[in-house]
Amino acid sequence: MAASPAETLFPELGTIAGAAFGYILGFASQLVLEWLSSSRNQLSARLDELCADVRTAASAGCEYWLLENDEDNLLLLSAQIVGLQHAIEGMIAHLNSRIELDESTSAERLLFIEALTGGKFQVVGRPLERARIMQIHAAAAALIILLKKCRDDALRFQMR
Amino acid sequence: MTAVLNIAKEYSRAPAGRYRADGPATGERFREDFLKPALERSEYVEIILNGTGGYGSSFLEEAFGGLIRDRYLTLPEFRRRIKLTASGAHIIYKRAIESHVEKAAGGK
Repeated sequence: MAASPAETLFPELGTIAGAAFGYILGFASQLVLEWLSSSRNQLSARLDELCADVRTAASAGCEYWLLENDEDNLLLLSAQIVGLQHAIEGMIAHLNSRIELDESTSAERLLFIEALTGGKFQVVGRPLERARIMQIHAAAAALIILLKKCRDDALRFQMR
Repeated sequence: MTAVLNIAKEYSRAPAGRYRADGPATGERFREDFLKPALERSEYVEIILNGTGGYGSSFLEEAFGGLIRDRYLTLPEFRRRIKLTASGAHIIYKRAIESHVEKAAGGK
């Protein structure tokens, strides 16, 4: 086959073009891998923050249910608990477009919310409820385990 | 006709507490002064849960479970006449209400 005019003038054009294409392909692949890695790290960090919020809410909940005759601190703690509970729900809703959390953790979240803010929560003169301390921590642990499992499943899927 | 009750706009952005004595925006007050009158006026009531900074489970149980416990509505009536609307972070509260009314109907 006869050489094209460009090949006649620049015999190494094919080699240069091939090298350039290879470089661009390699660069693009690296960009995609970096983007994937960054996305995975960000998701993982968000899930860690979510688990930390669950722990903080559980601690605040235990403090609330063990506190007596201190209306100011009860008010402060109850506001903190509802705020954290809502922040947890907001983050789950936010992350749900990337990782299915809402349906798969719904039952555990309901148990956690009921343990934290059910019964006589925010009732004036509510009695101490020591039994709730175990319920809160058990529900928090179950929720954290499930959140981490969802994360691991999602990251494993993204590796494929 | 369907009445629409937007809790954040018409009641409080920070609903809290169970009984009237617990504060200005409690579950009992919502049920007695807002929800029951809306159900008297209209066959169907749509309740918009979005817009608040969250709900304590005690508020939701008193406001909605209380309707069943007080025998104001049966569970089938509740499901037929009340529509709960929620999105995003508020979806869980809709599920919590459904759980509370089912428990109240079961006497738990």
